[in-house]
Amino acid sequence: MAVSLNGETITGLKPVMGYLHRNHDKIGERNTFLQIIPYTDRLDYFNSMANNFGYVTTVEKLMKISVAERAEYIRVIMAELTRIQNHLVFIGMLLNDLGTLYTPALYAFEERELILDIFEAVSGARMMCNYFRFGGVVRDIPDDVMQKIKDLVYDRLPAKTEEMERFLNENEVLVARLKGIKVLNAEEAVRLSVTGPCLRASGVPYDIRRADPYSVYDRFDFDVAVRYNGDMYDNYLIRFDEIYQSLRILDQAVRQIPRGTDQLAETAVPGAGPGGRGVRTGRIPEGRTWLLRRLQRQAEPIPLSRPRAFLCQPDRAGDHVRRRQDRGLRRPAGDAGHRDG
Amino acid sequence: MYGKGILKGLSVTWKRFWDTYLDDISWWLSGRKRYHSEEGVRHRSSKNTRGIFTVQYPEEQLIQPEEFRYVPFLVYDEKPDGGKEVRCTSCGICAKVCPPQCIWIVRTNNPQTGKPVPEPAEFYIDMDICMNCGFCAEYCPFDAIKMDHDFDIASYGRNVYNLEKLLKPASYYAQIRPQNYSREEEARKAKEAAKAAKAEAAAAA
Ligand code: SF4
Ligand code: SF4
Repeated sequence: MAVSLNGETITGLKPVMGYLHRNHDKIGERNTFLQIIPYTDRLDYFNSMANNFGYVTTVEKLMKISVAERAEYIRVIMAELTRIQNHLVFIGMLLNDLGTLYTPALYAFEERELILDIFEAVSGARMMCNYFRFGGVVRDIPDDVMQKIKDLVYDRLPAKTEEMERFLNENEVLVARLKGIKVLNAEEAVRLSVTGPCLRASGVPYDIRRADPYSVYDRFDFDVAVRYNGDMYDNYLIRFDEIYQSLRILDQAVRQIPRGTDQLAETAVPGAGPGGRGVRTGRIPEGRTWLLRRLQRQAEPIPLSRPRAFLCQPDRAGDHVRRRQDRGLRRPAGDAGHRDG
Repeated sequence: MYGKGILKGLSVTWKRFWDTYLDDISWWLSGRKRYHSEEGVRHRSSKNTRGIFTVQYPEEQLIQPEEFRYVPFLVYDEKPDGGKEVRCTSCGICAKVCPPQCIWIVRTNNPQTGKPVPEPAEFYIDMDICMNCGFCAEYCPFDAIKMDHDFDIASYGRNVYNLEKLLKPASYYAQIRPQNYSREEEARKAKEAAKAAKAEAAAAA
């Protein structure tokens, strides 16, 4: 991506196609539905649980698989923990790019590491979790891990998020670098199909968990975080708002989660399903992710019934121009947009 | 006042800096070992950790949870005479379910009859391609392939593991995954008892 800059303002943008295409869609043509789950981890290694979530909900919707009650709560817990660590790291990395090399980033990574400990204990891996299955999750959360989740949600994360705010929010250099930079107003944001916190920082209170609740999100009481200036500073602050809302959801989820492992579904391996296509949007912390799947019945049975599958995330593999612009808008001080891409 | 925010922020880093040493002293006073000990590492992964956070790999290592998974290995049971009874029947399910398709199995045929024998002649896993997803272990119906805890496998060459390199005893499996192991053993015993009861009933009839 060739970007012309005038100070911190982008005056011209020439995207070069073809990077970051990691063949997920081609692999998707070969693999069965189940085999694609670990690839969704790799769409964004900061949000593997959330990507799992979006993908399995899509397939479940297509195949009409119902999900075990407890598993729904486990999924929400994992997705919200993912959001918290993602947002904290976002803040840390933003500061990295502003020149505060690694102190805030490593503070963020401490909390992330503690959350990844939980992921590792339940799924076996810190980053490439591969934890979700159609109809449920791989295994239940053991009691000690549940206790650790509660410890983090009640004792540690709120205090640490506040500490992060105390650490950075009023920092004069940070405010000067962020306030009024890259103002994206609501109309523009909608026109450019911006999603996620960036959209909400521009004053559009659109949150897929509220607008089109999937899983058990309709059972939780939370506010859609929104800020109105649409500049970098609001983009930064809204991450904190969202972390607090995630903590609220987690608090309710750990209290409401039904007991007993019998409510976890057996891992379902879908065979050739009904033909059709399905689009499901999930809310990964970075914004909305689209997963499009098209199924066709196979003429001949293939071992492990291998339906033709197509996995596409326009965000990642499809519309590059939009995606690149999108990223530029999302993480201006960060990576793509402002410097090299 | 200009600079107040910066000072406020610096107080956070300042506090963290001192927390490390204050905790060092309190651990020392209570006679506990904060570094290079399991207790210390556990504390640094708990909600109460403050100050220093780093676990100094390789001198210290994070405590691996039982479910931690790295590359797969094949399980064999030790026979009383010291031989290896490979659990794998070369059914090929793991090879089919493997997302990046990195498992190769060659079946054994009985040289007299030419019929397949339930034991692999060769078994290869390309560890450079394996994505450590754990599906093979999840779907193997014979508990013959399991995910390992041993992650220090970096090397300069290609890592295509053959049968010899993949095979590890069931006792090793029991050691790294005690809960899973005892659960599976229980299930296996229950199954065998049910089978024996059925055979007995058939014999009595
Ligand atoms: S490891 Fe298990 S799944 Fe793979 S071939 Fe052997 S018995 Fe079958
Ligand atoms: S862990 Fe996954 S990628 Fe590796 S051999 Fe097993 S199924 Fe294949």
